[in-house]
Amino acid sequence: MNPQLPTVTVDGTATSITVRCAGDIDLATVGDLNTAVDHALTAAPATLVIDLSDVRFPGSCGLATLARTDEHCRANENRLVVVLPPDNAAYRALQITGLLDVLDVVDTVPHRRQHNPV
Amino acid sequence: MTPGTTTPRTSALRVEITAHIDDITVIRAALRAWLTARDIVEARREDILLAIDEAITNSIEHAYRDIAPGPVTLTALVLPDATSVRVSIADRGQWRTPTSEPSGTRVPLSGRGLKIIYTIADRLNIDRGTPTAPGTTTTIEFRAETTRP
Repeated sequence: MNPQLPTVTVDGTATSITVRCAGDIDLATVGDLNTAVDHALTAAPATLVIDLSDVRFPGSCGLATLARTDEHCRANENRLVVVLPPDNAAYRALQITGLLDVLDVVDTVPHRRQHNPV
Repeated sequence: MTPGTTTPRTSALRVEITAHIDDITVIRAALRAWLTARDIVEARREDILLAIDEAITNSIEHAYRDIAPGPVTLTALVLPDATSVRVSIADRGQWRTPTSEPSGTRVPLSGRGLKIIYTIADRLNIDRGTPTAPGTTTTIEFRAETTRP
């Protein structure tokens, strides 16, 4: 399989939805990511996780999607978590654009909580 | 440098596509390979690719709106001082004034903002063409450290 080909998968519960994207994001491929994110947001999860761990190139379109999704989540009081470890080449793009200061960026996918704490 | 043993650093790159979104990948792959062959350090190479992605995306999204897609041409060369790379993106479409950002946007990344280019580039020139000779040429210079001694 061509590692550049983007793939978008969605996995979730009522309170948390994870959109996982792999490959290169650009104008040709951002549509799949946008569709998955928009679809996830219609379910109004408490937490939306966008997992970019396997993204090689975030693209200006992908960064715009993150900025726009952040806006949406803030306005609707959803939590947005972006998974992107610092050793990923795409991490630097978040630094350069200032997105790192705005977004909640973590190294690994947060564990799904099985039971609510008392 | 012994001729024939290393890639000539001054060899330029020229790639032309028709403004179809699927061919963005083609330009990026060519530029990545060219920058790699010139020993540009990886972090800077990825910066340059991101800035150029924004310029190409602008051309493909906006230049040929409502008309048949025309050419988008990328040229890249190492400047004589050997510490900078100049990349130009040229189309033959109509310049469209960047759309203003929606108020309240915390990170201005949507629209034809050119914000990533401004952040990464060391020099930037945009030639918007004329009514009789339409076309936008965005020329960007990047200081670029190489791994070559």
